[in-house]
Amino acid sequence: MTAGTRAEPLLKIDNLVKHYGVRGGRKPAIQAVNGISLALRAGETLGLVGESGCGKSTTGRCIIGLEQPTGGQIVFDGKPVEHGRRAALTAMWRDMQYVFQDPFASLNPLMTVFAILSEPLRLSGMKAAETQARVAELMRLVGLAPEHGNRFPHEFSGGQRQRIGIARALALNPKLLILDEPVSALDVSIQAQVINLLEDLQDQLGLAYLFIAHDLSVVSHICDRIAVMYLGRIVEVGTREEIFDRPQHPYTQALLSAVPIDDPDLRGRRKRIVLQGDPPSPANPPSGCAFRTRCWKATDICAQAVPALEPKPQARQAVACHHAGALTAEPA
Amino acid sequence: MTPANQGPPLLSVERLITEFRSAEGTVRAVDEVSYQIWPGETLAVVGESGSGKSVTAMSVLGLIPRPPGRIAGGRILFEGRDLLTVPPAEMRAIRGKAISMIFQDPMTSLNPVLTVGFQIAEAMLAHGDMGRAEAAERAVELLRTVGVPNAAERYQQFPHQFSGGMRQRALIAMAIANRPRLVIADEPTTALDVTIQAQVFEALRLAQAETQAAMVLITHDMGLVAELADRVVVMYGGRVVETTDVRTLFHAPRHPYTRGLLASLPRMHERSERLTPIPGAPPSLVNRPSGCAFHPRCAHSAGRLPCRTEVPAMREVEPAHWSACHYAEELQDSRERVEA
Amino acid sequence: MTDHGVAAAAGDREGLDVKVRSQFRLALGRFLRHRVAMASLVILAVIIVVAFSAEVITPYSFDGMNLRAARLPPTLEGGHLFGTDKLGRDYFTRVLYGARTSIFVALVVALLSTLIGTLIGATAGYFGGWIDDVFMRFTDLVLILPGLALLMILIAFIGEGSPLQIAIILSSLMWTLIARVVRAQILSMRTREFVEAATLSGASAWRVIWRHMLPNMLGPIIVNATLTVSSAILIESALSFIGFGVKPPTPALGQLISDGRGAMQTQWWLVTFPGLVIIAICLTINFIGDGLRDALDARQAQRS
Repeated sequence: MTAGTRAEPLLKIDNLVKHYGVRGGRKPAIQAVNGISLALRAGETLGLVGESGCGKSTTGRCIIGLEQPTGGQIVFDGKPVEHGRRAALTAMWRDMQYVFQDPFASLNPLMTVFAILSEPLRLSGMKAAETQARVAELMRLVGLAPEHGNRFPHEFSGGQRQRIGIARALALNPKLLILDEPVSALDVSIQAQVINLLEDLQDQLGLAYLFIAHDLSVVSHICDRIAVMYLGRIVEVGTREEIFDRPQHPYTQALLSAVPIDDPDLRGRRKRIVLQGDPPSPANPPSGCAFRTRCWKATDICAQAVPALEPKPQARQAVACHHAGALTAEPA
Repeated sequence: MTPANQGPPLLSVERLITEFRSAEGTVRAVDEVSYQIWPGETLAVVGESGSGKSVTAMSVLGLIPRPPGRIAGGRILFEGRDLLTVPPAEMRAIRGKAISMIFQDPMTSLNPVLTVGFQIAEAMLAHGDMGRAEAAERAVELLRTVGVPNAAERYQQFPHQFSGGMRQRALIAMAIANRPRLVIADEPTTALDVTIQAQVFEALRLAQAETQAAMVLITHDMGLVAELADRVVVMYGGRVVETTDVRTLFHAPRHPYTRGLLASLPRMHERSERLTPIPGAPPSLVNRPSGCAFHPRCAHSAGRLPCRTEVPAMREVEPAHWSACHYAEELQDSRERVEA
Repeated sequence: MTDHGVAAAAGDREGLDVKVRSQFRLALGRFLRHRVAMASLVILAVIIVVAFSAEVITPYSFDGMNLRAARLPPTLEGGHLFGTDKLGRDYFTRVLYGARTSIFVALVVALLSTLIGTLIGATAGYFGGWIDDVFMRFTDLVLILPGLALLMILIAFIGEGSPLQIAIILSSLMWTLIARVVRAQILSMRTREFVEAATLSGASAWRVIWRHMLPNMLGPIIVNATLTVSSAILIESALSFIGFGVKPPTPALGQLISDGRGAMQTQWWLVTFPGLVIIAICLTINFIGDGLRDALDARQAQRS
């Protein structure tokens, strides 16, 4: 909460680049992240959306230091993230934590819930008695009964396991959680429970979230601001209303129109943009605007110049498109 | 709304019971499931993991691995014949010709060492009486039908040269190659990205328009149901809990589970402050609650005794609207879903 | 088409969410149902118990000579079940003590080489980069060395050794298999989410390996350690056979065969009984290894 009063954002990413397989490989490097800049204020939820392979998870992993970026700078809580220094990272992880997608893979199957939750506490130097109390508190916080601390992960359902993963991330009172598709592996009727939990926790603890997801309905529900990624770049970033009500980038428009709406009365009455083709390979992205190969607005300039991510006269959000504008033209 | 509830159904699953042996003893994955599908319609079978929706379909196709699986009761009538009594050789002929299927993961359903075109043509040659050249020509045409660009060129390529969405379209082409009367699609778009999903919807729609086949669409995605289905079967804990036409299901559901499910979905254009989740978790088959399997999570039961002790039967609560809730009548007018 | 169907149906069965009681107990249950492995375990247990209680079982000592009873074929008279050798030593007793030596050597080798292999493999796999390069090149080097020749040189260097010395020398060459297995496991586990989560919890490399990775790969390690036991028995026997093994008069199985082979025509029992014991030990251990692998692999399959 304290960071919110400062002018500086809690997290600032400047021109982050991550290429894979550069080292002496014969194959071209995979350009997973290709220069993205973002800022996240304390207590805010920023959605990072895009389709598989767009680099959204890689971005999250670079921010927390699970991957070493190829270029760019990340400043967290006023300090630059030093990816090479383990001690600096360990210190940072007290304030920045990660929630994984798969609640089955993210918990050590041979450890009890108590052991899982107490690990970060003990490693940070907490005494045994205090740890006991804190684990119970954490379990209650995420809606689990503290008596179940001696159970193993496989004795819990998927939703409960994700709660354990969230509790572990919260153990040391972080300021920022990076949530990597936290509900997409869960049953439909369970997703809402976890989303509500995340919102409650944010209210209680003043957390900031970087919410990485492909499900736009979930993102529209939980996020204050949203950045749309395509092939390693951010193509549009703005508030929830800006992105969902007045999208300016053709890709955002196509993405939104592709989401099936669960109202049979709207069937056939909604304009649906069906994009042609598949996203290009990040090993060999097109010149200029990466989206031009599937875009109905593309012209010569799109092949020549990478469009800058900047505010346009007709809209307040930043858009990276030479032909940004509200959806009027019919896709070819 | 429903296309043809008159006339005999194309497929009629009747009180089907499918069991699996496991370390925990025998579990009943499908428990007296019944549903019908009429020619040309799209029937969505909706449910969460463990609801039995896929196992039911595998039972229809005769693809339950035995052991550990076993069909312990019921009938599966396809065009009047009980598929459970059809000899295996004949069942293979039915599968792939009269009934075809589309699976969630297109990569495992295609042979990696054969060209895609060859595999589609092969499906026709195995079941039809056309020549090789004719089959090849029709395969290209089918690829074009489901929206594969440069179909003639794509015909020559191998599955690994296809992207996920393209592979799923090739599978759809293969599924309709023999003009089946029934297509069973098991989570056909779950593994795909949103913009690719949209392409595959289109392919499914085109395929169905082309063949007039009936389609069983197995999914957990209510959006997909709203976009594609004519009628819906909702499954929970191995049983059918509600079935009706798609509009009635979304606007006036008569089972607490359906209502809870619809209420819990985040919606892109309705920004209510808080979602309304269903508490608890779907039941495990080993440990199914007594009575109505949904009662521990039910907002409507309020702990009433019959919910805990009696398994509710499917009842026609309104014409063509069936619900397996003891108190379906109480759900008549109260629409839990908040309209924008 | 049928195959895909089965795969898909099997996939759906995961959705049944059949709760696993405890992975260890399930694996144990699978092992107990593995009939060949269970029978092998019983036989091996009998051999080990008998070998290590030789003092109680036979009235003779392994080097007690009795020239009047020399070269006896197996007989119930005097309790010479396996006969006697040319010095009149009770051959049953000698085989028991020989088995004891061989089993001791094999177990120590399994323990030591698992320890060394796990350390080297885990370090290489976890840290990667140049550490991995150095460690694995070294492993390859040890692997391609002409093992028996090198052993002979080493043993010649220390002279005829005690069982423990032999075991240490064998271990110094036999850890490579386990090192490679452990390295491969660690590599695949490095990107597992619970391992990354442990790192983010502030766990040190050592703690991540020790607390999170190794317990989750005990299966492959145990299986390979078991296989090491039987190779060690064979190699130790081979060494003893060519005279580079355990120093006489302490009997070892290979050494007994070696001593007896000159008289094979007339005194068949001198070669046959120690040979049978070697075969019995190796076969039973291999079957137990198979059973363990099946029991533990099934666990792996269920989890994925």
